[in-house]
Amino acid sequence: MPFFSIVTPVYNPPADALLECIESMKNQSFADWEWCVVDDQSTHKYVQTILQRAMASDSRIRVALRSTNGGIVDASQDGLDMATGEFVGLLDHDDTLDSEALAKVAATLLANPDADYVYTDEDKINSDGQHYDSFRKPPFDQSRLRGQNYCCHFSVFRNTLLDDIGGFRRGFDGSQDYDLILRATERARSIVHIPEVLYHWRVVPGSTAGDSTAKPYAYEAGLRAIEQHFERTGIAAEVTKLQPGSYAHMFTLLPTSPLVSIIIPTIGAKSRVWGSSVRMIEHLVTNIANMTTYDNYEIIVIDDLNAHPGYAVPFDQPDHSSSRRTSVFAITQPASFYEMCNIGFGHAQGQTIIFMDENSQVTTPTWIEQFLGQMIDPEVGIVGPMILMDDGRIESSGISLSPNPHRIGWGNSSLNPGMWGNSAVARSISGITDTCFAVRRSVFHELGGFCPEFQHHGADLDFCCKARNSAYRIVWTPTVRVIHFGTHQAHICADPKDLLLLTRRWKRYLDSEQYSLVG
Amino acid sequence: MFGQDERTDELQVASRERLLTEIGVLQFALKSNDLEATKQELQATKQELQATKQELLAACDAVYGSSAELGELRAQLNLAKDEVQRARDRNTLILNSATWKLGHLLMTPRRILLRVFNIPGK
Repeated sequence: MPFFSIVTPVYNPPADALLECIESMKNQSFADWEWCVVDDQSTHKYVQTILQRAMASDSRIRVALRSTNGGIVDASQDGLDMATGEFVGLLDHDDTLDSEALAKVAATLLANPDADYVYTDEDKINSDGQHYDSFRKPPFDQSRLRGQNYCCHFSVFRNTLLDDIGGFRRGFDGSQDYDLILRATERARSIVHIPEVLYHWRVVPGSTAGDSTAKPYAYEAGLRAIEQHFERTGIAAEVTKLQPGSYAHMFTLLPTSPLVSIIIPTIGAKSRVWGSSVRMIEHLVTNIANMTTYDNYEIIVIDDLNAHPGYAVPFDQPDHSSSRRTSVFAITQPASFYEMCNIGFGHAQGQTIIFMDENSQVTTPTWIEQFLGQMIDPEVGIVGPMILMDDGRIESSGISLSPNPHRIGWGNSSLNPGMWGNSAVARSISGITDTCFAVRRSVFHELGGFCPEFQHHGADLDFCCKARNSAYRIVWTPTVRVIHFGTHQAHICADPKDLLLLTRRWKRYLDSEQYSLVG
Repeated sequence: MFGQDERTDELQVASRERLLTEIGVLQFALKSNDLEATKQELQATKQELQATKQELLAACDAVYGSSAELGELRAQLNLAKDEVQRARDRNTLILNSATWKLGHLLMTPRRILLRVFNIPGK
């Protein structure tokens, strides 16, 4: 069985909170632990009294008193230096652990002997002892960790891994744990998430739990931690701050510039775009040509001739020497949107394929760079953007499969970060919509493209499920924004036949949403 | 020397003539229906290639889809098997209980009478 060292830096916590923290440690059902408590020269005398009593009451509690106030980083590092356990957990001085926390982490470590880092779900606890804001976290998600410290509490590291990375670093006060997690996850052999709330984060005035703007220096430190993470991993990206605790990253320089094929099926639809009646395909192709900064792309228009007699799509310039060429391929047989996408794939030359609904418009100049940037990680197979309605509200910040497939953030303001920043930070997700998404050519080919059996909606979700089943990650990124014109519905896959087919194939995913759980 | 120059000139003329003949033959071939036929053949082959690509995609999808459906059916089968096992276990528990055995014992005379007089039971 593993032996745990729990590290807690202490500085002037409320007495009752500290007592509850001590009680939660003593109440652990798992017995093999030591608690390394470091008092960072608390000015309140009761702190030392309480700690001395705790130490006297339980031999597993070890208390060190710092001679000077060094701040949270030095105090935490002192705690790490005291730790003799095989695994080290981090506990704040006013928070509490569930009584089964260490037992469940121990069981997880036994079942996953390669695990170097384990994190659990968490909730918040107010001064009345009420629990709320339960954060149901996803499986380990590198993309999301680059936007927010979602792992946070309760984090348990293999002690040798912490030795390897050099423990806490000065200069990251307030985000020292974020910096530690970023560095640890870069080297960890295996990372395991326990989907149970085992940590209770206390909300007291001035704490980050209650007000994320309370510690602006921590926000700055978090930004530096992510910037340095990108430097270490050799990825050129510019990190910017969103609302406190969340960050966006824009990929600035890609290692290569592969050919990208943008496939747009068209029925020659005519619609009103902000008052003007336009052919949507012409609007989109012009928009892409004017907006896109990436040079090496081709546009492939699949033109359903039956849908628009008397109109000819005017963009056919199949100059194969040009880097921004547009080719139009006409089809005369009736075909669904998804079949047209598959036909387009047959003509595409690019290593990355982007599928687009003709009723859309790109608003991010570096949209292709951002898609390709997310795909630097080889396990990422599909990347989708933030889809907005023409009035600026969110149409979709990804798809959640439970209870029924629906668009996340539908109808919200695009400034609304959503629950736990779900609509603000790039993250892995269960599915994305067919309005716009990028996929590796090899992945699309391997998975057999879109299933032609779906008539109206659902082949996009089916494709996402196929990708997940083959261990590819699907990433949604808010740094790419696409406006979708036309009708908007929160629920997708409304056709019962399509839903039945989806359920027949992927009930296991429909019944167990992992990435967008709330409450 | 003079004679050699004459022969060279003749050879050059002959080569030019042969080349002109070849060019004429090629030009004729270009103008003929062969080129059009080749173009059509190429187009048909391209279409065939496209159709094959689509078939390949559909076949891959069918494999994935069938495999996923099979997985779901297996999961359902396992659930059903578990349920049957649980029902069997419950049944065994009931049959082995003292209440059942006592009831069975008490009902024995009735069962014997029913059998002796050949009266349909239950």
